[in-house]
Amino acid sequence: MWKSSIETTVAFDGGAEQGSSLEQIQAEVTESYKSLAQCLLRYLLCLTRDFDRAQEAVQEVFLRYYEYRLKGGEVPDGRGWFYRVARNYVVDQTRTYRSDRHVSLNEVLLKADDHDCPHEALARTETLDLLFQVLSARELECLELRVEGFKYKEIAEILGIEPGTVGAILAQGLKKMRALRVKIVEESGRCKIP
Amino acid sequence: MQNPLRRITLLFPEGVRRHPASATLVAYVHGELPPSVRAQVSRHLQHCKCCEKEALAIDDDLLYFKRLMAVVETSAAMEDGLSRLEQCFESRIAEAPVPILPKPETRLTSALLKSIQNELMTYVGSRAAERILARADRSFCTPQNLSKQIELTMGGFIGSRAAAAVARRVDALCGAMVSHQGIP
Repeated sequence: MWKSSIETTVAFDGGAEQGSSLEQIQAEVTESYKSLAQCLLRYLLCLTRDFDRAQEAVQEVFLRYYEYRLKGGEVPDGRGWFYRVARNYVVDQTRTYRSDRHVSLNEVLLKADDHDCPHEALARTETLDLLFQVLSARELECLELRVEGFKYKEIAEILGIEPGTVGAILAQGLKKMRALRVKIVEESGRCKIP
Repeated sequence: MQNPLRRITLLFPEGVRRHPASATLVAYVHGELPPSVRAQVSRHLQHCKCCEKEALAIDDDLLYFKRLMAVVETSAAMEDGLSRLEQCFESRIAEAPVPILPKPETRLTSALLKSIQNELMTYVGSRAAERILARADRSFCTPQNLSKQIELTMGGFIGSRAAAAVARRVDALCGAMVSHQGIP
């Protein structure tokens, strides 16, 4: 099923021993960045709906991880830590950050210029843009975390909610998304997503 | 046309009759339900084509979402981020605060503690000497600031002047030990 195909392999051993050399820690952070940064970026995009802010937050998360490891800290629960730190950072930022522009996801497409077919990518980006308008940030977060292979309990820990609520949020998000799909199919027949 | 819900109500026993809530169905598909509820939903799905179709659509919807989100996978942005991160490594080290704990080699060695304890015993007895040094060790004293710590602690026991005299002796002892052992 889909679960096995989307599970992310994290090259992350839960933290090096205290007293690791600087080079070891840097290599560890770089390795974690390579395996987690894209997933984190997608998650943060759901949260911020702003590509640049999401990218900046990813950067900050790994710098914090680096500093944390330099001080001898260890991360017991692997990638969940990164998602929690990322979320906390964005939430803190949102309190002080006042967005003065609506960033359309078409800007993301401009950055994502490595797709084989630009028309296909454009269609997807437009659909994603619509989806971001229809779904709430929490629904998007839940969907993205689930797609990344997190269990309900882990999602609940990251979002700071009850595990039982995760199912309800997911169901709500999926319902809205299906309605959007039907609408898109009815309006323009743009349903062919390979 | 016959209402499918009514048909289910007539055909199946209590518990299997009811359609599960959409959140329950989603949790079932994700394998997040407790065994008893899972069995109940499973039995319901065996008989209810409507819910079975709904359950299959959940997987499809999540795959759809995954494909849509794949559009933001920008390897160029990631590579750029990685190079910026590596640049930041250097700058953050320069800005990093001085560690609170001294390096392990500058901590008090057991040989030094033993000799100081013998010195202190003559003034305050073995138990008090032991306590004073344990406290100094807990405060991460180094050979350089040990005499100051001892002076402060012993002031309460033997008076400030006597404590200052003991501290001077400890200082000399530390100096001798440090130069002998090559501790910085």
